Amino acid sequence: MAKLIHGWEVVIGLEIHCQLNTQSKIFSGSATTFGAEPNTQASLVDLAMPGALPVLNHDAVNKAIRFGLGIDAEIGRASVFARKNYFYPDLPKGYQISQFELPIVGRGHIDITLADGSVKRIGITRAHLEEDAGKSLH
Amino acid sequence: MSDLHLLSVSDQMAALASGQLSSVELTRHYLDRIARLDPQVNSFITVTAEQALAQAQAADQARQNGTAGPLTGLPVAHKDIVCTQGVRTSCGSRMLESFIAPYNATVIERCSAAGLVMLGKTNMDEFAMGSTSESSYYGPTRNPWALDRVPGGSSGGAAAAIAADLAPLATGTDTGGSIRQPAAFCGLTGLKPTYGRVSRFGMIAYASSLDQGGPMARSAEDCAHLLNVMAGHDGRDSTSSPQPTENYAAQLGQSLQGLRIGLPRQYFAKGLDGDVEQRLREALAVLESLGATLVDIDLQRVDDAIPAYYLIAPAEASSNLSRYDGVRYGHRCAQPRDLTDLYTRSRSEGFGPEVQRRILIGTYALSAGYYDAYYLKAQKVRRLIREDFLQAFTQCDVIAGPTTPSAAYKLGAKQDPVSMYLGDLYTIAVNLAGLPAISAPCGFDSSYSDSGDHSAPLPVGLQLIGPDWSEARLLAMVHQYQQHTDWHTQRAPLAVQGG
Repeated sequence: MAKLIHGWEVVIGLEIHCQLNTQSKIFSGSATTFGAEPNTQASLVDLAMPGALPVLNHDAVNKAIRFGLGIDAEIGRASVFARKNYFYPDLPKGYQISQFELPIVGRGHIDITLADGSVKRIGITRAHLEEDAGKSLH
Repeated sequence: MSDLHLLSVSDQMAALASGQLSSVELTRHYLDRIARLDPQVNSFITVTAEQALAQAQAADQARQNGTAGPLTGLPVAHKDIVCTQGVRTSCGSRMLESFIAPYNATVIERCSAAGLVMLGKTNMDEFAMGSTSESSYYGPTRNPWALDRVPGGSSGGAAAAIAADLAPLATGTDTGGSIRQPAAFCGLTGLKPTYGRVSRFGMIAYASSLDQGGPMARSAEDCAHLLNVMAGHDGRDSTSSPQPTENYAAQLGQSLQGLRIGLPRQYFAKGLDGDVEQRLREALAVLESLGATLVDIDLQRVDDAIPAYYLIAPAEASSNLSRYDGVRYGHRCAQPRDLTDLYTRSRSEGFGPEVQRRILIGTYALSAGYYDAYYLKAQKVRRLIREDFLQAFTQCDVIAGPTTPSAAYKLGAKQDPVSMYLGDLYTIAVNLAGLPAISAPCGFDSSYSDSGDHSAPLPVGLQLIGPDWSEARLLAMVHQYQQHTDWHTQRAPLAVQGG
């Protein structure tokens, strides 16, 4: 039974963006070396040149699956990438390749130990793969 | 020889192979014709004369060294939708007027490796959106058969170039009929391969799930040679298929004996213009004489194709064209006040009305509250359209029909975009289903006898649609047909007059 505070049950949701430590980016073969000179790790695909096409980095998928197994989650046997369309300076294509309906990782959980030694189960709704801009200066 | 352009591609290949003809001579011949005749046709946006001659020299050198292949030294024109390194790639738009592609599309790399010589980049409807080539920022292309008529679109420049004998071969792209319909309007042979057969890497995207590159030429044999170069899996295009390729040129002799040709009842319920139905029936009679049998079939979903396409294609286009924002390349408005102004003015100035129309329709169809009713529903209908074809292929091997309901109409005739869209009736369902289809010239429509109209009779196209990966059979059927007819060898008045 949840503890009520002034009659209210407090629910906190966290959306966590976690960069996977792959050698190259998720949809292009570009390197991901931290601290490199600007524009030295941006390929035709990253710059959204006309005619450029994304190619999925298999290692990113492997790492996502590994995470999913680690949180005891369902792994999507069929998983779909979808475009999130909007205009922004850090979004060269004008859309972000993300996942919507069929994420790679489904419902899972992580158990944490509280100060009093009791174990609390934190539910994880889903985890999916997407591309994200590193840093934007504009 | 002043008539090198009248040689068939096979004869050109033989003459190059034997050393009777050099690539430089052949290339120069076409470049001269382009300079003399293209002002009347406007089939090229960019002519790459210097590069062409350099490539031709390299081809002749390769022949001397014994490293030449069957196509080495043959000139080719490329629709201005494929990225060509160091050469303007405009997509028929003001948006990319200043865009010099920093890389080569896979199709270009393959043509180059095969020793083909690039004459230039051909005119097209802006961003491949259109059926007439009238929406090009670089002016309309004219049909060499009648200069007051459209060559079709969106690969209108490629078709007109071949029809005027300004190029023997061309690469085009087809999203709703953009290879087949201009081929039909210009008396040529054009093939849209199965989706995934030809790499889209470097092929500027209009509708990613529908776009497919393919060959255009005077005959199925020529198309087969070019398809051999273009086809094949490409790791850089995740939608390209690992389906093994075949030597399409080696299978042209396949017999038609016992082949069942399906005729959809629904095709003939529509109004077919002028002599179109007559030419179609005559072509089918030739195929029957070669051993094929005709079978009546049903394609229930014929009327769903245009509405489904004109939701799906604009939706995909609205997303694919978001990258044209004035930031990294292409048109940028003068003195942008802020980010929104930069995006708004660059795009409003860079895109023509038809492109803007489709972006707006597409954005609407994908928007919250409408996505399910429009885009999602259209995709469901799309699957039914494909199943409709697959069901038909249990009763026949190939489906035949006209490529277009009429021959080429006059420039400016289709003011209402919807009336232009309706002309895509026979071609569009094929892209939705991902199937291969070919258009071949099957005669002329002489019913255009407006008083005072001195235009020549206009070409009519026969379309054959096959199951997935049946390119070899489609090419063979047309090749056999072309061995027994000579429509594909007829020349437009402009091509003859140019001398």
